[in-house]
Amino acid sequence: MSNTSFVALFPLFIGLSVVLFSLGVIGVLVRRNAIIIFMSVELMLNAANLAFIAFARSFNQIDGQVFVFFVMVVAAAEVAVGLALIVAIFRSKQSINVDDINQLKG
Amino acid sequence: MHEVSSEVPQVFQYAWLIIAFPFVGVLVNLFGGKNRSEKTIGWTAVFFATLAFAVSLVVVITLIGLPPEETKLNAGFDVPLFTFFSIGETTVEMGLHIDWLTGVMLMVVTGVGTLIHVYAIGYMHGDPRFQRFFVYFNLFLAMMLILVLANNYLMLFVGWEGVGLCSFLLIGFWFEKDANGNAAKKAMVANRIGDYGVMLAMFAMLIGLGTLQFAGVFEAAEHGGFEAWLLPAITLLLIVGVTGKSAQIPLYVWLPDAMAGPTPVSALIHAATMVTAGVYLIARSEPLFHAVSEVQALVGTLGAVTAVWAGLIAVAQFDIKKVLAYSTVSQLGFMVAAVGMGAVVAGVFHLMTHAFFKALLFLGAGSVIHGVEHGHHHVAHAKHDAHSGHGDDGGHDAKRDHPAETEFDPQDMRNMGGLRQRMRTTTIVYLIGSLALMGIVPFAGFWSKDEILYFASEHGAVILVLLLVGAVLTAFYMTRQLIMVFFGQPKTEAAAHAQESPRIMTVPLLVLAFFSTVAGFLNAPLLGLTPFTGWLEGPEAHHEFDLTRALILAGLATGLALLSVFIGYLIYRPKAQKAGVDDPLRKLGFVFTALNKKLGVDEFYGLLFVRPFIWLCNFLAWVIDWRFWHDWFHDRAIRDTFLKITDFLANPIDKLVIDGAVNGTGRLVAWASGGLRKLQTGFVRSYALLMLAGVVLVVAWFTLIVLQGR
Repeated sequence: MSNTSFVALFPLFIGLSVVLFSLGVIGVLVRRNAIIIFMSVELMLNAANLAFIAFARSFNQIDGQVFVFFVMVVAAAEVAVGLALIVAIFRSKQSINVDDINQLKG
Repeated sequence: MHEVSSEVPQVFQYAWLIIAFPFVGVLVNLFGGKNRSEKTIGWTAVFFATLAFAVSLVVVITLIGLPPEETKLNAGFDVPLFTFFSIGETTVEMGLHIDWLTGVMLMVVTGVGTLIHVYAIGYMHGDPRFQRFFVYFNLFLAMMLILVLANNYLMLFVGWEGVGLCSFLLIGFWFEKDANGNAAKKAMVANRIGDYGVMLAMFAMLIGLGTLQFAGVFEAAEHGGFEAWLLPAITLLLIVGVTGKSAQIPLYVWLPDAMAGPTPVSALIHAATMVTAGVYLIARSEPLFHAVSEVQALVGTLGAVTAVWAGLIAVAQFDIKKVLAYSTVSQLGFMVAAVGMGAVVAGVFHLMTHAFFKALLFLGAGSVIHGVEHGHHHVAHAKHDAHSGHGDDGGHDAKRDHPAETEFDPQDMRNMGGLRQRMRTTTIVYLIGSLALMGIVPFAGFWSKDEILYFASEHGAVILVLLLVGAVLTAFYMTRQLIMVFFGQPKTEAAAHAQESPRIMTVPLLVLAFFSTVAGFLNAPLLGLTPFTGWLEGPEAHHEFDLTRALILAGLATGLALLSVFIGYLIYRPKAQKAGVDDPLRKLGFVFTALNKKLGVDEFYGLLFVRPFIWLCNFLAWVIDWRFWHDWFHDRAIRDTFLKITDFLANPIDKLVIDGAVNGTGRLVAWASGGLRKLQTGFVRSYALLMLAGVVLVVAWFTLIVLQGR
């Protein structure tokens, strides 16, 4: 893809990123299922990744693309820890409804 | 002149035993157990007194055997014992000094002391504090011996204070009666004033001469090289001590009151030994006094005036012991006058003879009191049997001229009379003692008093006339006493039933009577006998002795004394002595009253010193201490102010400010957190919403900045 064609596409990428991010935010705020919320967070991360890449390409700088890798590593780690937490919570509460999890006491 | 012989006889190395033995007696009687009989206690005390006497005797015999120039006054031997203390350059070595002055004092103290110990066993019989009495008595002996054996002023002062303490303890021995306790306190206070003088004298010696050893002080005084005020100051301060201890004007007032103690105490401490300590002090310090003739003249006059003054008071006393007490003051005046004039030998000689006959007189008086008390008990008992249930069991005559006294006073001469029939031995020895005191040939007092008069005649008319007046008064009041006590008819039933004292009391009296008779021949220049002078002054110091003058003086003194006795006899006619008779001297009116009231000296001192002192004490106690320090300073100034400050700190500061700050903080936090608490719902999604809101805000903020920066 040539650079000139990308200039035309850039607003679309950003717009997609914004839409994805907003969907992620709404998902985190309105859903109660911990796994769904988790997925929404992943959506927000990937929206951010998309924005990174779009800007990196737009400004011809590699930093943004490198940063995406970091985000993906962190997201992977987050998934590992997060899912483990959810499993542990389910084991003790028999539920993964976040509204039920309002006490630190186990 | 004052150097000490290098070779001290072996015997003197053991002279410290003289002091140690009575101390052992004190310890034995103090810790020897409580349930011992009077006999054991008494004879233990006598035993140790006798041991001290024995060692003293050995010392004196050794002295006789030594060449006189080595043993005369202030030559003698120093026996060092131990170093008392050493501060900087000042070192006080404790040690004994033995010369003839010490020898004479040793003989008097241990000899008369032992006899009085024996007498006291009889006199104190039945006293609940018998043991304590003999502990004090032995302690006194030890202290007195420290005093006379000391080779320095500090050790002398130790003894000086020690005998003062024993005097205090023994005057107040029967402390159940207030008067006795007060007498003891009076003696203590009067002596304290004197002791203060001695202490200041010692300080002056240390400052000016740098030593307290007799030898060192005298040598330094002889060589001079110090400031002119030093010797007058030292001697005058010593005189203050002498007026206290030896009861001279103006501090003599304690001695008559000291008669409150048991009679053996009066005899031993307040007649024979302790009160002569002042005379001893002047005699011992003779080289110092010798250097200051003005002070010598003062001392001579002081003694002579005291002799007359006390003699006058003695004339009008009714208490048998008070008469003797004032007589003692008077005789001490003779001695002080003598040593003051520099006639040390005469003064010490009179000291010795006086110790014998005054101890005799006091013990005789004790015997009389004992006898009259016995008679009183006898009568009281008989009456009680006759009218059982009758309230009045006092066997006294209602016609006595002092009805104010309801209690029978066995010491009042107006309760006596005619005792010569009932108490033969006592009468005879008392007569001997009186004759010795009056200075009638050949008894001891004649020789010693005569010698003082002889020296006074060399020294000036004033002292001589005063001393002659004193001698005349002595003869008069002793005649009065003899007639009132022993002659005429018994004035009370108690006197009529008086009983002679037991053997244990009369034997010491006889021994003392013997010495009162013969002691005078130790120094009878009229007969050519002067061993005493030889002992004290050495062979070379031979006074020019004017035999004619001595004879005239002796004749004059004896004549005056006999005249005085005769006048006394006429006034007090023994035949007129019967129940209810008043003192004929009362016709003298206010003169007699004044003398009877002791010339108001006590009242005068009371007005001059005691009252202002008590007022000052009250002022200090009630106004300064109580009202100022306690009420005002402590209660008001400190406590109330403190309370006010603490109140201020507690209420406005602590309660309002501090508590307000703390509580306010708490309330603020509670109030603030009350609002914030609502945010913590526990719902994760609301937190997430808040975070979103926060992020939106931050982003909006940044966006605003970026937009503005453009």
